[in-house]
Amino acid sequence: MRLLLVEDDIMLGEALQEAMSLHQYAVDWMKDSESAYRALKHEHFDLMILDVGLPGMDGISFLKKIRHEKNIIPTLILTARDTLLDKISGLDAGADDYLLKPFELDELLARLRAISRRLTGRADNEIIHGDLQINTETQHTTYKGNPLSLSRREYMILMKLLENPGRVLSREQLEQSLYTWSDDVDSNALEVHIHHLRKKIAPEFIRTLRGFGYVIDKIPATST
Amino acid sequence: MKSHWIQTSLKRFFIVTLLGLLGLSILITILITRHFAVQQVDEVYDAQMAQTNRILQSFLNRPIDELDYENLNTTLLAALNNFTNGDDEPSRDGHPYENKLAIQLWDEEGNLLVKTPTAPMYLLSPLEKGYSTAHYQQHKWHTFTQYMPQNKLWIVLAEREDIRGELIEQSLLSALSGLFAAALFMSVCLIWIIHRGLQPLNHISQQLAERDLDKLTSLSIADSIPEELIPVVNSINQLMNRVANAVEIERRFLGDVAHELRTPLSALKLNTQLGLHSTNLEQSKLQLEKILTGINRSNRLIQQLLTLARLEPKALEEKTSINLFDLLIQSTQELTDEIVDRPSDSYSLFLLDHVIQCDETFRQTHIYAHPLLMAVLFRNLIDNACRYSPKGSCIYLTVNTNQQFIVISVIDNGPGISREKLGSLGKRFFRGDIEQKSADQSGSGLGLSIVTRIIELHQGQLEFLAVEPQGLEVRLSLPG
Repeated sequence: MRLLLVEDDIMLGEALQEAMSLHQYAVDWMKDSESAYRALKHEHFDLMILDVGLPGMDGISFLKKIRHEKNIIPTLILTARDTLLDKISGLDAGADDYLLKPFELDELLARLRAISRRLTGRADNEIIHGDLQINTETQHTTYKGNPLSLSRREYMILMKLLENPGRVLSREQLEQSLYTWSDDVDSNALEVHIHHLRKKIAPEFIRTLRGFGYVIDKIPATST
Repeated sequence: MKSHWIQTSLKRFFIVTLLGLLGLSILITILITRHFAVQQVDEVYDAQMAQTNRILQSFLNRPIDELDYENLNTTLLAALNNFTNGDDEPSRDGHPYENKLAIQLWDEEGNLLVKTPTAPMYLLSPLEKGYSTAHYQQHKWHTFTQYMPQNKLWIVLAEREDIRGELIEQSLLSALSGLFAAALFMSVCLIWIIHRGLQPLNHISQQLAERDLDKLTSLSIADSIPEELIPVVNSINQLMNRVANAVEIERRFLGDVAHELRTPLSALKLNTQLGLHSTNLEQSKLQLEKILTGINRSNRLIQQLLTLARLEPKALEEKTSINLFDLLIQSTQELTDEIVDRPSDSYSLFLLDHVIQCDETFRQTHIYAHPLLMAVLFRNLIDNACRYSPKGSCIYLTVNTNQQFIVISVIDNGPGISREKLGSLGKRFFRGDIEQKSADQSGSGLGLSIVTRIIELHQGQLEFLAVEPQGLEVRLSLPG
């Protein structure tokens, strides 16, 4: 998942970027709302973590602005202000959730999972697709009961495709959710990852549509 | 001086003074009415007495041999005794007051010829024509004396004073009873009017009592507020707005403080968790170093916050004359622990990463200020200059003295600050452009707030100027 982190504090930003990267997120870090705005204009992000106390335009105004422009990126705000009014104004500005500083990393991760669960209309952290089973909390993946050992990138590609079953995702779309700006992207890295995934799961699990992209087919409703 | 109990309450003051004045006017009215009533009653009675005297004269004024004293005396006694034993109520035959009247008939030699039983045996008044007064049987008597030339006799008519007194009392009472009723009515009305007139004040105080720090809304100027109180209400509302603003600023400040304190805490927490989960020793060490940096930063922030909170006007009582160069050395030492090199004959201080350069005037100038606060101020300014200017660069300090001010400038050649952001400098938690900084470089955002406050306490001025081609000049003007 591609995540946009907007945080002006260098220390916290560095620590968050490191922590989120360890948990299968591709993190781009912006230090003020202006550059975050530009990033949102040009790239696709799956999630945003937004600090309220930003230099220049503060986080709440920034969120109002992008929501006004119909940007629906799921957003979790980080705030140090703990009054009811602050919480309400943050949620009303368009935040999906908020977290009070200082926070536990595990709670932040759980809240992000909750946001993406709601986004994909799932009831729990289990994704079951035919014989494939993924726990998004532990990132434990099994196929026909056998555990799979997936690399970080492979897991991210699989998740992206599973969240959009039946939809063809282009190479650019997949790459955008996979790599941050600072990542060096090898021109055929994606093909390599897809190749590995097919080998680990099943060759027909991910279909290639030449010239369009990749798709994981929907499971037809099984009649019993 | 403690104010009198009347003055502590408007209501009490109005009621006591107005009712007092009302009472006093009634008293004056009584005195004046009484004075004129006495005059009037006296005149009527005196005239009556004169007339009675003349009627008597018309019977008695004849040659002495024609008068039969014995007979006259008996007749008079019989006629007047007629009623003296009756009860006290007036009747068809007469009035008990009749025994308050007395008649005497005297000859020239001073012999009492005839008298009513009510009269004494001695002369009630000197034998002179006209009105007079006398005392007899513990009463005051009014007398009227006439001389009859035909028989050379004196006729003395007397009337007891209390007849008149009663009449005066009666007439006064009837005249004043209306006044008393009116005064009573007036008192009730006055108390009601005062109560009613002070109602808007009660209304305002009630509204004020409902206000607290969370509800500092303006008082409503309802129709019931009289126009005299509108300026008061307006002033209260203005004050209320100022207080609300101050409260809002403090609240925002607290929010900012929370943000500034909790953000490094979040970073510390995250770094700790990352360190805990890391299996790599090198990695853990790196996290620990980051945590140390974070702790130092939080500590600096708290120090600055405390400095800001402790800046009180009374600190200024300890002003002394301070040499600028001494101040510079002192604050630089506090800042960096070490001054790497300080050539004794030059105007430069070599720090680890920067050079501070001043001139002869700076070395010679003394300012009159609070030494500790000034050290804090210099420390912050030099800290800022070092923080925002490249390593190895020079920070210039200059001083100019004009008629009113000593103007001190701290000039760095850092990135400076854009013109639109110059105004934000000195605001709490505003920091310079973030892009150029590492975690170690970022300040607390309070340094220039502290500088601003110290300059305010010294009644000086603070200016920020852009330096061409790059850099920032902080200019302090202190009263000379």
